[in-house]
Amino acid sequence: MAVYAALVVAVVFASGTFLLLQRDLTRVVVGIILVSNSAVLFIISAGLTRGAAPILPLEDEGASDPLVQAMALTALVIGFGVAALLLAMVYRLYATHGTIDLEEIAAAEMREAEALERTDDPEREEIPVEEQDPGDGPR
Amino acid sequence: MLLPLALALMAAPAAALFGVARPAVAGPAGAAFAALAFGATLWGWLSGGGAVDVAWAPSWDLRLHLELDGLAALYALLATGVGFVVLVYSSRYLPLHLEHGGRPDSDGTSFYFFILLFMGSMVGLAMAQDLVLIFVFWDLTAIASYYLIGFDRHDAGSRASALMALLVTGITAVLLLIGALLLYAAHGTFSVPELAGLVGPGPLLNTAGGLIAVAGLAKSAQVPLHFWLPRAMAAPTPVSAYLHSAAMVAAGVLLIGRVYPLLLKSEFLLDALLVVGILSMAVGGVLALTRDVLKQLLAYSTIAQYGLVVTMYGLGGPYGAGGAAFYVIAHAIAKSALFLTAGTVTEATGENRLSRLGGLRKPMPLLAVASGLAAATLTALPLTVGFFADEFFFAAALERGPLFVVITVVAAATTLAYTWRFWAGLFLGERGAAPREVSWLLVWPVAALGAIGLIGGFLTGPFEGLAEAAGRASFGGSTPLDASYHAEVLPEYLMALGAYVLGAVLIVSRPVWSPAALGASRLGKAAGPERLYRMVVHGLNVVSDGVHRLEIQNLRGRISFVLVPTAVLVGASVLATPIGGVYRVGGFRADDAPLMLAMLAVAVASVTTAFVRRHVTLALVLSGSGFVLAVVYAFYGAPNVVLVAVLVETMLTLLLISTLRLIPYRILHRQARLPSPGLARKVFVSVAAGAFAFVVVWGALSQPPAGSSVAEEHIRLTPDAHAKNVVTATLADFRGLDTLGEITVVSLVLLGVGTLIGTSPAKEATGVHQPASRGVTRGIARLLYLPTFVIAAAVLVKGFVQTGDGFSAGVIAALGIVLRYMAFGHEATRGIPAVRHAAAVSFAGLLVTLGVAAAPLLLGEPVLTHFPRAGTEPLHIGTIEVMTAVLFDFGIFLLVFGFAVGLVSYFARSISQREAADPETLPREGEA
Amino acid sequence: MRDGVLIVLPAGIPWVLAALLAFVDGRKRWVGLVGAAGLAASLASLVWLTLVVLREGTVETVAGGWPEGVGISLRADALGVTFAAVSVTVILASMLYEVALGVRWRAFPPLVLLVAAGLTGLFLTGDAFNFYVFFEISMTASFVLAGYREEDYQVRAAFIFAVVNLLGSVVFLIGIAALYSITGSLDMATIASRTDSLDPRSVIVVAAVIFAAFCLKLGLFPFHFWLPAVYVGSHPPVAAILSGALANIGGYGLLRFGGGILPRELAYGSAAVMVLGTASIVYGALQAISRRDTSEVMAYSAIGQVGYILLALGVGGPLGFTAAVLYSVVNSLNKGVVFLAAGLRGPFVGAAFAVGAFSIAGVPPAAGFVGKIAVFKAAIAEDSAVTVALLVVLIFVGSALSFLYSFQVYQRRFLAPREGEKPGPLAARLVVLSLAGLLLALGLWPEPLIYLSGAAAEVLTGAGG
Repeated sequence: MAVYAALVVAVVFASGTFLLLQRDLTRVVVGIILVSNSAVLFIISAGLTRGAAPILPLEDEGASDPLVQAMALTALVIGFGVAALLLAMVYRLYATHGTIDLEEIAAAEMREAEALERTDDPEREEIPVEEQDPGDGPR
Repeated sequence: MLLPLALALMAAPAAALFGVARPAVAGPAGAAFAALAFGATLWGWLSGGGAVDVAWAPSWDLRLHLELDGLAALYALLATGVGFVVLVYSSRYLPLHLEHGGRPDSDGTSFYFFILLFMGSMVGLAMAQDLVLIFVFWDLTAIASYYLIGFDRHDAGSRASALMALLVTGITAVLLLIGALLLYAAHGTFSVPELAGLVGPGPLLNTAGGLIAVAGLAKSAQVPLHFWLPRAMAAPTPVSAYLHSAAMVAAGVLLIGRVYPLLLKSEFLLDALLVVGILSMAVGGVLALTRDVLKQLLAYSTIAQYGLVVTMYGLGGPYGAGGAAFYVIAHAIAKSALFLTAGTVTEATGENRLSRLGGLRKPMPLLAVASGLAAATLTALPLTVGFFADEFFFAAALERGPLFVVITVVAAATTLAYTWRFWAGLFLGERGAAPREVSWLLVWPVAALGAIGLIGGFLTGPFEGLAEAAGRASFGGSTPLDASYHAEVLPEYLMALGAYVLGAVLIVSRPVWSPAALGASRLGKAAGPERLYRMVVHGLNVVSDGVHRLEIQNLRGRISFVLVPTAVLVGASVLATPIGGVYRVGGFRADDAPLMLAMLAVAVASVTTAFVRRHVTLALVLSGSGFVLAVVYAFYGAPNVVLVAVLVETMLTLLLISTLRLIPYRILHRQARLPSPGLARKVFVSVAAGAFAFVVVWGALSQPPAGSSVAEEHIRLTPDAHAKNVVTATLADFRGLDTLGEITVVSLVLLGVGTLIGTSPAKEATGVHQPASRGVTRGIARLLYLPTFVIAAAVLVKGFVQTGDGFSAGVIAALGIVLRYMAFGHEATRGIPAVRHAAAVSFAGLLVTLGVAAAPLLLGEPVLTHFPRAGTEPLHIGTIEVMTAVLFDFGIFLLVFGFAVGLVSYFARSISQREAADPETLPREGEA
Repeated sequence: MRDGVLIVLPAGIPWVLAALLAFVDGRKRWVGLVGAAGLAASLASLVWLTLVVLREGTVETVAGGWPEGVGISLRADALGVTFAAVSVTVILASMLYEVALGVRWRAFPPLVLLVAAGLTGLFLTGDAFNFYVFFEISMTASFVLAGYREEDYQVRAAFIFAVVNLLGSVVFLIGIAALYSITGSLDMATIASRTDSLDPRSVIVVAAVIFAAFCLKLGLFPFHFWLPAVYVGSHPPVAAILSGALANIGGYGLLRFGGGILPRELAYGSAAVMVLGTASIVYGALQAISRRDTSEVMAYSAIGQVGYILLALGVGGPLGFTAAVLYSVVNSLNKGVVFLAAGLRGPFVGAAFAVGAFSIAGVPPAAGFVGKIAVFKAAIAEDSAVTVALLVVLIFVGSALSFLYSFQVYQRRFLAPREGEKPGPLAARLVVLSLAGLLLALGLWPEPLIYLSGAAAEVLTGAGG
């Protein structure tokens, strides 16, 4: 079971990262959601006991590890919150750049970086210029 | 005892304060402080010196160990004495300098601040006996010189020179620190006197002493790190005078004199000093003979003369250490006078080149005599203090053999030749540029220095005493110096005579050697260390540009460079440790089959997202995978997680769809069809990511826990928390702090989303056609409006017994509002109080939970303690138990409700604005 | 009971205040000032807590009054309070600075307060998962703050920042869950003692992902590619918060998890740690040299500077850990000063930046030289002479390069006179100057800093064996 759970977690994680590498902003957010899901799945499967729901009174078969459930809930909610934040950012990015394509947005970034390099004088004044003194004049 | 240092260190801030009040007063005030400090030093020295040694940073054995020994007294007197003269000179010179530059008088304040800081740090450096303290004062002088050399900050050349001086002296200063730390590591002390008794010859001394010596030599502008000094002439002339005679450059030989007790234990180091000193004499001498710019000539002469001092230290013996100290005094007096002469001449004529100057003896007789005396001192003519300086130099050489006799004579002759060039070039010969009247303040300081040089030729006692004491501090033993004229013919006298004759020959034979000297100068320029410096600085900038082109500037690369290095790290740690026996396949149970099936579905859904083109499909696949995950959680026996996961997935799908609706369809459509290059790379990266996740997760799941889980305690203690559901008790009580943090993140997100998309000033869309929803939807929305709240209340209250919690209740209640949004649109919904005040509701919830968490503190209980405590039955009102834990959950409910409603309303509002602005956004039937 | 209250105050004050200030308009000056007062109160309580910790040892309380391990332990030791104090100092300065400039966002004060609450919380918690939760509070607040002022590039930077760091958070979360899975506990002290009995082969992999996650936060080469865009794009006080306070998560995390919880694994991987530190030092410094924009130079400088922390961590032991703590503190303050100064014009600003630049280059009396001494000491303490030589040369070269880039940009931006620049608000300039003054004071009297760092290192060497 350990290897199977690990495999599933890894597949979900890898799918998420694959989406993170896409050029589409919305896919990136979906990637983050998937990656978070994989973490929650791992937390749940990292429980040290498995059994019935941990609600008292317990039956003989034993309960599932309640601590991982609490952790999973916390992680789930946090993941949801930041995903919502990311979606708002996606909309903002679209509103300002008129695109949800990362390549185009990155191109804008590059343009600005180049403009920055140009605006400041490329002459590097910190290096001393050639010495002006020609040595000794004939006297 | 600390008085000299205190006065010297106070001078800078005091002058700055005066300067801020009235710029004109800064100079005189500084001069007054310098005079006071000089007096205090003299008094302190005459009354027997003294020492202070207090702990500074005891954890590291750093001490404020200051002592006014001979060496300290010598350099402190030079720093304050020459400082005084230079400040007097500056009080006239600087206003003119500023005037030429078209700068306000107030700029002068920073000049006085830094030159006095220079003085103060020199006094401190002279007195410091602790290597780290020395390092501190050492770098303080570097800072002061940096600002003084770059004083003409509008001038790029000036700034470049300042940077060069800082880089050369600042970076080599780090070597001093390293040397100090190496010595400390071996001997456990930074104190120079203590180290002198502990350190023996050996590689450690050679390394540490060598590093310290390099720092000293760089500061003293010794070959090959000499090139910054001629550049430093970019500073106003009084600064040059100070820098060359009593401060910066003198600091270098001061350091060598200070650590000399260590250095002289190593033949290797003494020999190295000799080599560097002789090379510097040669390079400085030859180049001084070729320079045309006054200050450059003087700068190279300084290099040569400090080369001489270093040579004397290298020669060793009592004459070496004591004579070196004596030479420093003579040089300081003469060199400062000559620099000030150059300044005055340039100020009077507007020219700074020998080739355009000459014949000034008639218009400026006093200056001619005064600087003639200084020149005589520098060239060691009899009847000046310089004479004895050279006597000791010769005496030290005599002890080492004929080779050194020749070298010293040649060096002295060269000094004579270039000093003559300087003085004769200015005052003799044909008239060059005509001088203007100059203030007496620009002449008399030179005259005073010249006079001291002359007086020192007769009244040698004080100089002798001071140098002897300094020599004693360096040498460790007595260094008797005999500065008096003798009737018999000493070998030193013969050497002096030889030097004069050779010097005269050099002067006369100028046309013969001049081309060769110029050739050497050109060679130095083409292949010298300054060239190397320039190439290194330039090269580093070019390399930096080159490296910058490799810098990754897109998100894909940035993500890859998180995942791949992590994978490499994990891979490396797996490879480094044989994994056999650590990883277990783990047993499969028959009743695991449904769980495994559900997990398979999760995996399939996740992988599918990679192949989906259309955005809406993507959202659906994602939510599908989320809901199947909930099923997985169910099989893991986690009903609380199931509930929250389902609700979260619902909200998330809703928000995702909302976002898609905010973006015009054509954009989405185009995006979905854009090519996606680099597939192989993406697959590689995500496979690597999956691989490390797999390794970590499998490893963790295979490893039996090292101890019993704390969860068992949670189950056992749940009745004490008055709960039946262990998970809810954990969330609200055992790990309430986590929950508090989690909901804080949630409210933060609301704050963030509200800031990013909720506050745009765009007008509310009114009267726009809202997408019609069917009557059925509206009906359902009306029907469900109230029941959702009832369900929410039930979930909230029942949480402690059954499955449920404040979070779920909040989301469920919010769904009622969401449904209204979907049915009636933004217009009709935004008026509902819960919507208008969603953020306030949310933060009120946060305050409630924080209040519940903090209240126990008032009762002397730990934070987040819930009441009633274990063992006390809570009050029952119907089925509701009155407990603070319930109140805590209620706060969460409020928070989450406000959050969910607020979030949806922000998105809904944006949608309605978008639709008003851009009707194209509306999805056409059948397309979306 | 005093302890139970005292340990809650540093995070609690800004936390509650944030919830209160969320109701009002943060653009009003008084709101910002109240926020700053809250931060000052938090700092004051931290100073008090520090004194108590130094006098009486670790201060501990368990939330909810449950037995240790069942409830979440809050544990204030010298390491935690040191990082908390310096972080809150930088945040306080940034807050005052922005109030002087004029706050543009309603939510700015509560967001900043929550960064502070999250940071102090994570520095003072003794529970691994709780650490993650606090970490998320400060991260989420920072994601939003990175977009402050809402210029195009700021929103873009915020998105990059959020996505990359969320990925890092997930990696970290996986690490935490793995730790629970192999030890059965979330309490740091318990985890530390239980991992000792485990096969190191199964722990080292977990250590590797946690290490990677913190390197990402710290902005260490090659995990740093998100950093320049974010630091350059952010509004100066935000950049100061990110680099001077938030990045401390990385340094602290490496020390706490590496030095305190998984010391055996850290020792095992010390070579890798040092190699990464080296790469970062060289790469950051090389990049910084020819960058034009002041913030950009300092962003790359940040990458280089954290390399020293890694180097010290790799050396380990009392000297190494002391150096790592000390360098982190000094680096935070340096970055606070230079990023704040980079956004201003006018008198005092150049002076403040110069203090920061001197500090980065390790020139006394600015405090940077104390950090430099610490890393040199740590390097010299290594066993083999070859390692010592290599490390010393590396640190020397790194510091030489830092001279070059700091002063190239200083001269271009501050020393060279520029026409027609309007000076920034006096109050903002005074804030920067005061922070620079703090750097000078710590350089002139370094004992408190050294003592505190030593005590912090003792926490680790004492606990980890």
